[in-house]
Amino acid sequence: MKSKIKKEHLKFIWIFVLLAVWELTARFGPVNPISFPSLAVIASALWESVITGDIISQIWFSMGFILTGLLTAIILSLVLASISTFSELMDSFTDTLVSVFHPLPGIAMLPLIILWFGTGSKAIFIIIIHSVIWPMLLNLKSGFKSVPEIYRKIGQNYEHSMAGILFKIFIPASLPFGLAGIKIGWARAWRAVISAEMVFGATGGKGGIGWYIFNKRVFMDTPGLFAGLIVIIGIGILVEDLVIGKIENSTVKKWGTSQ
Amino acid sequence: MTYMVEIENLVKSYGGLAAVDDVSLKVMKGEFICIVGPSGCGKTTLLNLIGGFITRDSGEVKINGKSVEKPRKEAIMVFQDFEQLFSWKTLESNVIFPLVDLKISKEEKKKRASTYISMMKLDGFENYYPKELSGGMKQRGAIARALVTNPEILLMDEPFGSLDAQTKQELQNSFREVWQKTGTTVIFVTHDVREALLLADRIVVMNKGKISRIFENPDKMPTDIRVREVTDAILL
Repeated sequence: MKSKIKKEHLKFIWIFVLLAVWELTARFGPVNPISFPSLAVIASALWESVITGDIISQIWFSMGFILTGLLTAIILSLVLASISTFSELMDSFTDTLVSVFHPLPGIAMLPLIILWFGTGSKAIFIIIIHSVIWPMLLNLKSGFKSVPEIYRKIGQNYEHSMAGILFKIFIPASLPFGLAGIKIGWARAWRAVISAEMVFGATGGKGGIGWYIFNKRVFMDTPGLFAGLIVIIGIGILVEDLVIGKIENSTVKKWGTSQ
Repeated sequence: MTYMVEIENLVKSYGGLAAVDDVSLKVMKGEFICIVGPSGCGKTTLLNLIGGFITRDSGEVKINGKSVEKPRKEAIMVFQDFEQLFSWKTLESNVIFPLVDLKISKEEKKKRASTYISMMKLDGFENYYPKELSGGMKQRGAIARALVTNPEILLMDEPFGSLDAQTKQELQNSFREVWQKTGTTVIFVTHDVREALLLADRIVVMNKGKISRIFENPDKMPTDIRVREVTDAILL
Protein backbone atom coordinates (compact mmCIF):
# COMPACT_ATOMS: atom_id res chain seq x y z
CA MET A 1 0.00 0.00 0.00
CA LYS A 2 2.78 2.36 0.94
CA SER A 3 4.68 1.87 -2.30
CA LYS A 4 1.45 2.36 -4.25
CA ILE A 5 0.97 5.85 -2.83
CA LYS A 6 4.57 6.65 -3.58
CA LYS A 7 4.11 5.58 -7.17
CA GLU A 8 1.11 7.87 -7.54
CA HIS A 9 3.17 10.74 -6.15
CA LEU A 10 5.96 9.97 -8.59
CA LYS A 11 3.50 10.23 -11.46
CA PHE A 12 2.61 13.78 -10.42
CA ILE A 13 6.26 14.69 -10.02
CA TRP A 14 6.98 13.50 -13.55
CA ILE A 15 4.05 15.42 -14.94
CA PHE A 16 5.35 18.50 -13.18
CA VAL A 17 8.85 17.94 -14.65
CA LEU A 18 7.42 17.58 -18.16
CA LEU A 19 5.41 20.78 -17.76
CA ALA A 20 8.47 22.62 -16.47
CA VAL A 21 10.53 21.48 -19.46
CA TRP A 22 7.71 22.62 -21.71
CA GLU A 23 7.51 26.01 -20.13
CA LEU A 24 11.28 26.55 -20.24
CA THR A 25 11.41 25.57 -23.91
CA ALA A 26 8.51 27.88 -24.75
CA ARG A 27 10.07 30.84 -22.98
CA PHE A 28 13.76 30.46 -23.64
CA GLY A 29 14.10 27.84 -26.37
CA PRO A 30 14.59 28.46 -30.10
CA VAL A 31 10.89 28.00 -30.86
CA ASN A 32 8.20 30.12 -32.43
CA PRO A 33 5.67 31.12 -29.74
CA ILE A 34 2.90 30.84 -32.34
CA SER A 35 3.45 27.14 -32.84
CA PHE A 36 4.88 26.43 -29.36
CA PRO A 37 2.88 28.55 -26.91
CA SER A 38 3.67 28.83 -23.22
CA LEU A 39 1.57 27.05 -20.57
CA ALA A 40 -0.07 30.27 -19.45
CA VAL A 41 -1.34 30.98 -22.95
CA ILE A 42 -2.62 27.41 -23.32
CA ALA A 43 -4.29 27.55 -19.92
CA SER A 44 -6.10 30.76 -20.75
CA ALA A 45 -7.21 29.35 -24.12
CA LEU A 46 -8.52 26.29 -22.30
CA TRP A 47 -10.26 28.41 -19.70
CA GLU A 48 -11.88 30.54 -22.37
CA SER A 49 -13.19 27.61 -24.37
CA VAL A 50 -14.57 26.09 -21.17
CA ILE A 51 -16.31 29.36 -20.19
CA THR A 52 -17.85 29.86 -23.61
CA GLY A 53 -18.98 26.26 -23.41
CA ASP A 54 -17.46 25.64 -26.82
CA ILE A 55 -15.21 22.74 -25.91
CA ILE A 56 -17.74 21.20 -23.55
CA SER A 57 -20.43 21.02 -26.18
CA GLN A 58 -17.96 19.48 -28.63
CA ILE A 59 -16.94 16.86 -26.11
CA TRP A 60 -20.53 16.17 -25.26
CA PHE A 61 -21.17 15.64 -28.95
CA SER A 62 -18.28 13.18 -29.36
CA MET A 63 -18.99 11.33 -26.12
CA GLY A 64 -22.62 10.88 -27.10
CA PHE A 65 -21.47 9.07 -30.21
CA ILE A 66 -19.01 6.92 -28.33
CA LEU A 67 -21.41 5.89 -25.60
CA THR A 68 -24.22 4.88 -27.94
CA GLY A 69 -21.76 3.20 -30.31
CA LEU A 70 -19.97 1.38 -27.50
CA LEU A 71 -23.22 0.20 -25.96
CA THR A 72 -24.61 -1.03 -29.28
CA ALA A 73 -21.37 -2.84 -30.07
CA ILE A 74 -21.28 -4.47 -26.63
CA ILE A 75 -24.84 -5.74 -27.00
CA LEU A 76 -24.17 -7.02 -30.53
CA SER A 77 -20.99 -8.81 -29.48
CA LEU A 78 -22.77 -10.33 -26.46
CA VAL A 79 -25.42 -11.74 -28.77
CA LEU A 80 -22.81 -13.09 -31.19
CA ALA A 81 -20.64 -14.55 -28.40
CA SER A 82 -23.69 -16.18 -26.79
CA ILE A 83 -24.92 -17.94 -29.89
CA SER A 84 -21.34 -19.03 -30.56
CA THR A 85 -21.23 -20.69 -27.16
CA PHE A 86 -24.25 -22.84 -27.86
CA SER A 87 -23.67 -23.60 -31.54
CA GLU A 88 -20.44 -24.83 -33.09
CA LEU A 89 -21.57 -23.67 -36.52
CA MET A 90 -22.05 -20.10 -35.28
CA ASP A 91 -18.77 -20.36 -33.39
CA SER A 92 -16.82 -20.92 -36.60
CA PHE A 93 -18.89 -18.22 -38.33
CA THR A 94 -18.02 -15.57 -35.73
CA ASP A 95 -14.40 -16.76 -35.76
CA THR A 96 -14.34 -16.08 -39.48
CA LEU A 97 -15.95 -12.67 -39.04
CA VAL A 98 -13.37 -11.68 -36.43
CA SER A 99 -10.40 -12.89 -38.44
CA VAL A 100 -11.61 -10.99 -41.50
CA PHE A 101 -12.65 -7.71 -39.92
CA HIS A 102 -10.48 -7.43 -36.82
CA PRO A 103 -7.29 -6.55 -38.77
CA LEU A 104 -9.12 -3.83 -40.72
CA PRO A 105 -8.61 -0.43 -39.05
CA GLY A 106 -11.78 1.64 -38.82
CA ILE A 107 -10.10 4.60 -40.48
CA ALA A 108 -9.36 2.43 -43.55
CA MET A 109 -13.10 1.87 -43.88
CA LEU A 110 -13.75 5.60 -44.13
CA PRO A 111 -13.75 5.94 -47.94
CA LEU A 112 -16.14 3.02 -48.30
CA ILE A 113 -18.37 4.26 -45.50
CA ILE A 114 -18.51 7.74 -47.01
CA LEU A 115 -19.50 6.14 -50.31
CA TRP A 116 -22.25 4.08 -48.72
CA PHE A 117 -23.51 6.28 -45.92
CA GLY A 118 -22.25 9.78 -46.66
CA THR A 119 -20.50 11.85 -44.00
CA GLY A 120 -23.30 12.12 -41.47
CA SER A 121 -23.57 10.83 -37.95
CA LYS A 122 -24.70 7.44 -39.25
CA ALA A 123 -21.24 6.97 -40.80
CA ILE A 124 -19.44 7.83 -37.55
CA PHE A 125 -21.72 5.47 -35.67
CA ILE A 126 -20.86 2.63 -38.05
CA ILE A 127 -17.12 3.28 -37.72
CA ILE A 128 -17.38 3.16 -33.94
CA ILE A 129 -19.28 -0.10 -34.04
CA HIS A 130 -16.74 -1.58 -36.41
CA SER A 131 -13.87 -0.48 -34.17
CA VAL A 132 -15.41 -1.90 -31.01
CA ILE A 133 -17.32 -5.01 -31.98
CA TRP A 134 -14.44 -7.24 -33.14
CA PRO A 135 -12.07 -6.86 -30.19
CA MET A 136 -15.09 -7.06 -27.88
CA LEU A 137 -16.33 -10.24 -29.53
CA LEU A 138 -12.86 -11.77 -29.43
CA ASN A 139 -12.58 -11.08 -25.71
CA LEU A 140 -16.08 -12.27 -24.87
CA LYS A 141 -15.56 -15.50 -26.79
CA SER A 142 -12.35 -16.34 -24.98
CA GLY A 143 -14.04 -15.26 -21.73
CA PHE A 144 -16.95 -17.62 -22.29
CA LYS A 145 -14.53 -20.42 -23.20
CA SER A 146 -12.67 -19.86 -19.93
CA VAL A 147 -15.80 -20.47 -17.82
CA PRO A 148 -15.14 -23.71 -15.89
CA GLU A 149 -17.14 -26.72 -17.00
CA ILE A 150 -18.27 -27.12 -13.38
CA TYR A 151 -20.08 -23.74 -13.47
CA ARG A 152 -22.05 -24.84 -16.50
CA LYS A 153 -22.88 -28.16 -14.82
CA ILE A 154 -24.14 -26.34 -11.72
CA GLY A 155 -26.38 -24.18 -13.90
CA GLN A 156 -27.77 -27.30 -15.58
CA ASN A 157 -28.19 -29.00 -12.22
CA TYR A 158 -30.57 -26.25 -11.10
CA GLU A 159 -32.42 -26.60 -14.40
CA HIS A 160 -31.65 -23.10 -15.61
CA SER A 161 -32.44 -22.31 -19.23
CA MET A 162 -29.62 -21.45 -21.63
CA ALA A 163 -30.44 -17.76 -21.20
CA GLY A 164 -30.37 -18.20 -17.42
CA ILE A 165 -26.98 -19.92 -17.54
CA LEU A 166 -25.74 -17.17 -19.82
CA PHE A 167 -26.84 -14.24 -17.68
CA LYS A 168 -26.36 -15.75 -14.23
CA ILE A 169 -23.13 -17.63 -14.86
CA PHE A 170 -21.33 -16.96 -18.14
CA ILE A 171 -21.46 -13.17 -18.14
CA PRO A 172 -20.33 -12.61 -14.53
CA ALA A 173 -17.78 -15.44 -14.74
CA SER A 174 -16.15 -13.91 -17.80
CA LEU A 175 -16.33 -10.31 -16.61
CA PRO A 176 -12.51 -9.91 -16.51
CA PHE A 177 -12.47 -10.61 -20.24
CA GLY A 178 -15.47 -8.38 -20.83
CA LEU A 179 -13.81 -5.48 -19.03
CA ALA A 180 -10.60 -5.99 -21.02
CA GLY A 181 -12.75 -5.88 -24.14
CA ILE A 182 -14.44 -2.68 -23.00
CA LYS A 183 -11.04 -1.09 -22.36
CA ILE A 184 -9.83 -1.89 -25.86
CA GLY A 185 -13.22 -0.98 -27.29
CA TRP A 186 -13.26 2.37 -25.57
CA ALA A 187 -9.74 3.25 -26.73
CA ARG A 188 -10.58 2.27 -30.29
CA ALA A 189 -13.90 4.10 -30.32
CA TRP A 190 -12.24 7.25 -29.00
CA ARG A 191 -9.59 7.11 -31.75
CA ALA A 192 -12.15 6.31 -34.43
CA VAL A 193 -14.39 9.21 -33.47
CA ILE A 194 -11.59 11.77 -33.43
CA SER A 195 -10.27 10.60 -36.80
CA ALA A 196 -13.69 10.47 -38.40
CA GLU A 197 -14.60 13.93 -37.12
CA MET A 198 -11.42 15.36 -38.61
CA VAL A 199 -12.18 13.82 -41.97
CA PHE A 200 -15.90 14.60 -42.01
CA GLY A 201 -15.82 18.11 -40.57
CA ALA A 202 -18.89 19.48 -38.90
CA THR A 203 -21.86 17.16 -39.18
CA GLY A 204 -25.21 18.61 -38.29
CA GLY A 205 -23.75 21.96 -37.19
CA LYS A 206 -21.36 20.40 -34.66
CA GLY A 207 -18.10 18.66 -35.26
CA GLY A 208 -17.05 17.09 -32.02
CA ILE A 209 -13.65 17.31 -30.37
CA GLY A 210 -11.80 15.97 -33.44
CA TRP A 211 -13.24 18.69 -35.62
CA TYR A 212 -12.51 21.21 -32.87
CA ILE A 213 -8.74 20.59 -32.83
CA PHE A 214 -8.60 20.30 -36.60
CA ASN A 215 -10.31 23.66 -36.94
CA LYS A 216 -7.92 25.26 -34.45
CA ARG A 217 -5.03 24.34 -36.72
CA VAL A 218 -6.80 25.73 -39.76
CA PHE A 219 -7.12 29.09 -38.00
CA MET A 220 -3.60 28.83 -36.55
CA ASP A 221 -5.04 28.96 -33.02
CA THR A 222 -2.25 26.84 -31.54
CA PRO A 223 -3.12 27.47 -27.87
CA GLY A 224 -6.68 26.35 -28.65
CA LEU A 225 -5.29 23.25 -30.37
CA PHE A 226 -3.27 22.37 -27.27
CA ALA A 227 -6.27 23.05 -25.09
CA GLY A 228 -8.15 20.47 -27.14
CA LEU A 229 -5.33 17.94 -26.78
CA ILE A 230 -5.20 18.45 -23.01
CA VAL A 231 -8.91 17.81 -22.80
CA ILE A 232 -8.52 14.63 -24.88
CA ILE A 233 -5.75 13.42 -22.54
CA GLY A 234 -7.84 14.34 -19.51
CA ILE A 235 -10.83 12.39 -20.74
CA GLY A 236 -8.64 9.39 -21.52
CA ILE A 237 -7.26 9.36 -17.98
CA LEU A 238 -10.68 9.98 -16.48
CA VAL A 239 -12.31 7.09 -18.30
CA GLU A 240 -9.49 4.55 -17.95
CA ASP A 241 -8.40 5.28 -14.38
CA LEU A 242 -11.59 6.45 -12.79
CA VAL A 243 -14.54 4.90 -14.59
CA ILE A 244 -13.07 1.56 -15.69
CA GLY A 245 -10.69 1.43 -12.70
CA LYS A 246 -13.62 1.90 -10.31
CA ILE A 247 -15.62 -0.82 -12.01
CA GLU A 248 -12.63 -3.17 -11.75
CA ASN A 249 -12.08 -2.37 -8.09
CA SER A 250 -15.69 -3.08 -7.20
CA THR A 251 -15.88 -6.28 -9.25
CA VAL A 252 -13.02 -8.42 -10.54
CA LYS A 253 -10.39 -7.06 -8.12
CA LYS A 254 -12.75 -7.53 -5.17
CA TRP A 255 -13.62 -11.04 -6.29
CA GLY A 256 -9.97 -11.85 -6.95
CA THR A 257 -10.69 -12.94 -10.51
CA SER A 258 -8.85 -10.18 -12.38
CA GLN A 259 -6.25 -11.48 -14.76
CA MET B 1 -40.58 -51.11 -1.29
CA THR B 2 -39.91 -48.04 -3.36
CA TYR B 3 -36.38 -47.02 -4.12
CA MET B 4 -34.94 -43.53 -4.45
CA VAL B 5 -32.54 -44.59 -7.19
CA GLU B 6 -32.96 -47.60 -9.46
CA ILE B 7 -30.20 -48.48 -11.89
CA GLU B 8 -30.77 -51.36 -14.28
CA ASN B 9 -28.25 -52.84 -16.72
CA LEU B 10 -26.65 -49.45 -17.21
CA VAL B 11 -24.00 -49.21 -19.95
CA LYS B 12 -21.84 -46.31 -21.06
CA SER B 13 -18.79 -46.71 -23.24
CA TYR B 14 -16.21 -44.34 -24.61
CA GLY B 15 -14.58 -45.31 -27.89
CA GLY B 16 -15.59 -48.94 -27.60
CA LEU B 17 -14.36 -49.18 -24.01
CA ALA B 18 -17.09 -49.74 -21.44
CA ALA B 19 -16.65 -47.22 -18.60
CA VAL B 20 -19.83 -48.47 -16.97
CA ASP B 21 -20.62 -52.03 -17.91
CA ASP B 22 -24.01 -53.52 -17.12
CA VAL B 23 -24.42 -51.97 -13.69
CA SER B 24 -27.55 -52.55 -11.61
CA LEU B 25 -28.07 -51.00 -8.20
CA LYS B 26 -30.96 -49.95 -6.01
CA VAL B 27 -30.64 -47.23 -3.41
CA MET B 28 -33.17 -46.72 -0.65
CA LYS B 29 -34.46 -43.36 0.52
CA GLY B 30 -32.14 -41.85 3.10
CA GLU B 31 -29.39 -44.35 2.40
CA PHE B 32 -25.73 -43.36 2.31
CA ILE B 33 -23.93 -45.22 -0.48
CA CYS B 34 -20.20 -44.99 -1.09
CA ILE B 35 -18.78 -46.09 -4.42
CA VAL B 36 -15.12 -47.06 -4.17
CA GLY B 37 -12.66 -48.40 -6.67
CA PRO B 38 -9.36 -47.73 -8.40
CA SER B 39 -9.07 -44.75 -10.75
CA GLY B 40 -10.67 -45.45 -14.09
CA CYS B 41 -13.08 -48.01 -12.66
CA GLY B 42 -16.06 -45.97 -13.85
CA LYS B 43 -17.26 -44.63 -10.49
CA THR B 44 -17.34 -40.98 -11.58
CA THR B 45 -18.99 -41.93 -14.88
CA LEU B 46 -21.64 -43.81 -12.93
CA LEU B 47 -22.25 -40.75 -10.75
CA ASN B 48 -22.56 -38.50 -13.80
CA LEU B 49 -25.02 -40.93 -15.35
CA ILE B 50 -27.17 -40.89 -12.21
CA GLY B 51 -27.06 -37.08 -12.28
CA GLY B 52 -28.04 -36.97 -15.96
CA PHE B 53 -24.91 -35.03 -16.89
CA ILE B 54 -24.01 -37.60 -19.53
CA THR B 55 -26.32 -39.74 -21.64
CA ARG B 56 -26.29 -43.51 -21.25
CA ASP B 57 -25.86 -45.97 -24.08
CA SER B 58 -28.40 -48.42 -22.71
CA GLY B 59 -30.07 -49.51 -19.51
CA GLU B 60 -32.12 -47.40 -17.15
CA VAL B 61 -31.60 -44.88 -14.37
CA LYS B 62 -34.63 -43.86 -12.37
CA ILE B 63 -34.92 -41.34 -9.58
CA ASN B 64 -38.17 -41.61 -7.63
CA GLY B 65 -39.49 -43.87 -10.35
CA LYS B 66 -38.84 -41.31 -13.09
CA SER B 67 -36.30 -41.95 -15.80
CA VAL B 68 -33.33 -39.53 -15.72
CA GLU B 69 -32.77 -37.78 -19.05
CA LYS B 70 -31.03 -34.58 -17.97
CA PRO B 71 -29.67 -32.96 -14.78
CA ARG B 72 -32.43 -32.29 -12.29
CA LYS B 73 -32.86 -30.28 -9.11
CA GLU B 74 -33.73 -33.44 -7.16
CA ALA B 75 -30.17 -34.74 -7.47
CA ILE B 76 -27.50 -32.13 -6.73
CA MET B 77 -23.87 -32.74 -7.53
CA VAL B 78 -20.95 -31.68 -5.33
CA PHE B 79 -17.56 -31.75 -7.01
CA GLN B 80 -13.99 -32.35 -5.90
CA ASP B 81 -12.82 -29.04 -7.41
CA PHE B 82 -12.42 -26.23 -4.85
CA GLU B 83 -13.50 -23.72 -7.47
CA GLN B 84 -17.13 -24.78 -7.54
CA LEU B 85 -18.36 -21.74 -5.62
CA PHE B 86 -18.97 -18.81 -7.94
CA SER B 87 -16.02 -16.48 -7.55
CA TRP B 88 -18.10 -13.30 -7.98
CA LYS B 89 -20.51 -14.11 -5.17
CA THR B 90 -19.99 -14.03 -1.44
CA LEU B 91 -20.41 -17.27 0.46
CA GLU B 92 -23.96 -16.28 1.43
CA SER B 93 -24.92 -15.32 -2.14
CA ASN B 94 -23.46 -18.60 -3.33
CA VAL B 95 -25.65 -20.54 -0.93
CA ILE B 96 -28.66 -18.42 -1.94
CA PHE B 97 -27.98 -19.02 -5.66
CA PRO B 98 -30.18 -22.16 -5.92
CA LEU B 99 -33.05 -20.21 -4.32
CA VAL B 100 -33.03 -17.13 -6.58
CA ASP B 101 -35.95 -18.21 -8.75
CA LEU B 102 -38.05 -19.24 -5.76
CA LYS B 103 -41.00 -17.01 -4.96
CA ILE B 104 -40.12 -16.42 -1.34
CA SER B 105 -38.99 -13.25 0.38
CA LYS B 106 -35.38 -12.19 0.53
CA GLU B 107 -35.37 -12.61 4.31
CA GLU B 108 -36.65 -16.15 3.98
CA LYS B 109 -33.89 -16.95 1.47
CA LYS B 110 -31.27 -15.53 3.81
CA LYS B 111 -32.74 -17.47 6.69
CA ARG B 112 -32.62 -20.75 4.79
CA ALA B 113 -29.07 -20.05 3.64
CA SER B 114 -27.96 -19.23 7.16
CA THR B 115 -29.41 -22.51 8.47
CA TYR B 116 -27.13 -24.50 6.17
CA ILE B 117 -24.19 -22.14 6.60
CA SER B 118 -24.38 -22.78 10.35
CA MET B 119 -24.87 -26.47 9.80
CA MET B 120 -21.63 -26.56 7.83
CA LYS B 121 -19.96 -24.44 10.56
CA LEU B 122 -19.29 -21.39 8.42
CA ASP B 123 -20.93 -18.78 10.66
CA GLY B 124 -19.26 -15.41 10.35
CA PHE B 125 -17.96 -16.03 6.85
CA GLU B 126 -21.19 -15.07 5.05
CA ASN B 127 -19.70 -12.00 3.38
CA TYR B 128 -16.40 -13.58 2.35
CA TYR B 129 -15.58 -14.17 -1.29
CA PRO B 130 -14.38 -17.68 -2.25
CA LYS B 131 -10.82 -16.48 -2.81
CA GLU B 132 -10.72 -15.50 0.88
CA LEU B 133 -11.74 -18.99 2.03
CA SER B 134 -9.56 -22.08 2.50
CA GLY B 135 -10.11 -25.23 0.46
CA GLY B 136 -11.97 -26.92 3.30
CA MET B 137 -14.22 -23.91 3.82
CA LYS B 138 -15.00 -23.79 0.11
CA GLN B 139 -16.08 -27.44 0.22
CA ARG B 140 -18.21 -26.72 3.29
CA GLY B 141 -19.77 -23.86 1.33
CA ALA B 142 -20.40 -26.09 -1.67
CA ILE B 143 -22.16 -28.64 0.55
CA ALA B 144 -24.24 -25.88 2.17
CA ARG B 145 -25.27 -24.68 -1.28
CA ALA B 146 -26.13 -28.22 -2.35
CA LEU B 147 -28.29 -28.74 0.75
CA VAL B 148 -30.15 -25.43 0.69
CA THR B 149 -32.88 -26.62 -1.68
CA ASN B 150 -33.28 -29.75 0.42
CA PRO B 151 -32.68 -32.07 -2.56
CA GLU B 152 -33.74 -35.71 -2.51
CA ILE B 153 -30.25 -36.87 -3.42
CA LEU B 154 -26.73 -35.58 -3.06
CA LEU B 155 -24.26 -36.86 -5.63
CA MET B 156 -20.75 -36.33 -4.30
CA ASP B 157 -17.69 -36.80 -6.47
CA GLU B 158 -14.75 -37.11 -4.06
CA PRO B 159 -15.66 -33.83 -2.35
CA PHE B 160 -12.92 -34.23 0.26
CA GLY B 161 -10.39 -35.74 -2.13
CA SER B 162 -8.13 -32.69 -2.33
CA LEU B 163 -8.09 -31.82 1.37
CA ASP B 164 -5.29 -32.38 3.87
CA ALA B 165 -5.82 -35.22 6.34
CA GLN B 166 -6.94 -33.10 9.28
CA THR B 167 -9.38 -30.90 7.35
CA LYS B 168 -10.71 -34.01 5.66
CA GLN B 169 -11.49 -35.60 9.00
CA GLU B 170 -13.24 -32.45 10.24
CA LEU B 171 -15.37 -32.33 7.11
CA GLN B 172 -16.21 -36.01 7.27
CA ASN B 173 -17.45 -35.57 10.82
CA SER B 174 -19.51 -32.47 10.11
CA PHE B 175 -20.95 -33.99 6.99
CA ARG B 176 -21.91 -37.13 8.87
CA GLU B 177 -23.77 -35.06 11.44
CA VAL B 178 -25.51 -33.04 8.74
CA TRP B 179 -26.54 -36.18 6.90
CA GLN B 180 -28.05 -37.57 10.10
CA LYS B 181 -30.02 -34.34 10.53
CA THR B 182 -31.26 -33.96 6.97
CA GLY B 183 -31.80 -37.61 6.05
CA THR B 184 -30.84 -36.95 2.45
CA THR B 185 -29.99 -39.88 0.22
CA VAL B 186 -26.28 -39.69 -0.59
CA ILE B 187 -24.25 -41.33 -3.32
CA PHE B 188 -20.64 -40.60 -2.56
CA VAL B 189 -17.70 -41.48 -4.78
CA THR B 190 -14.33 -41.86 -3.08
CA HIS B 191 -11.12 -43.84 -3.36
CA ASP B 192 -10.53 -43.53 0.37
CA VAL B 193 -11.63 -46.77 2.01
CA ARG B 194 -11.51 -45.29 5.52
CA GLU B 195 -13.81 -42.50 4.43
CA ALA B 196 -16.24 -45.00 2.94
CA LEU B 197 -16.24 -47.10 6.13
CA LEU B 198 -16.84 -44.02 8.25
CA LEU B 199 -19.76 -42.67 6.24
CA ALA B 200 -21.55 -45.31 4.23
CA ASP B 201 -24.47 -47.62 4.99
CA ARG B 202 -23.35 -49.70 2.04
CA ILE B 203 -20.05 -49.70 0.18
CA VAL B 204 -20.19 -50.49 -3.52
CA VAL B 205 -16.88 -51.68 -4.97
CA MET B 206 -16.40 -51.07 -8.68
CA ASN B 207 -13.82 -52.60 -10.95
CA LYS B 208 -13.47 -52.18 -14.72
CA GLY B 209 -16.94 -50.70 -15.03
CA LYS B 210 -18.69 -53.43 -13.08
CA ILE B 211 -19.84 -53.69 -9.48
CA SER B 212 -17.56 -56.37 -8.06
CA ARG B 213 -18.84 -56.40 -4.51
CA ILE B 214 -21.19 -54.68 -2.06
CA PHE B 215 -20.38 -54.42 1.65
CA GLU B 216 -22.98 -53.74 4.31
CA ASN B 217 -21.53 -51.27 6.80
CA PRO B 218 -23.85 -50.92 9.80
CA ASP B 219 -21.09 -50.14 12.32
CA LYS B 220 -19.55 -47.20 10.46
CA MET B 221 -16.24 -47.88 12.13
CA PRO B 222 -13.14 -47.92 9.97
CA THR B 223 -11.25 -50.59 11.94
CA ASP B 224 -8.04 -51.96 10.47
CA ILE B 225 -9.66 -55.31 9.74
CA ARG B 226 -12.53 -53.71 7.86
CA VAL B 227 -10.19 -51.43 5.94
CA ARG B 228 -8.11 -54.43 4.87
CA GLU B 229 -11.20 -56.39 3.93
CA VAL B 230 -12.54 -53.65 1.63
CA THR B 231 -9.10 -52.80 0.24
CA ASP B 232 -8.58 -56.44 -0.68
CA ALA B 233 -11.89 -56.44 -2.52
CA ILE B 234 -10.80 -53.36 -4.48
CA LEU B 235 -7.42 -54.83 -5.41
CA LEU B 236 -8.90 -58.15 -6.43
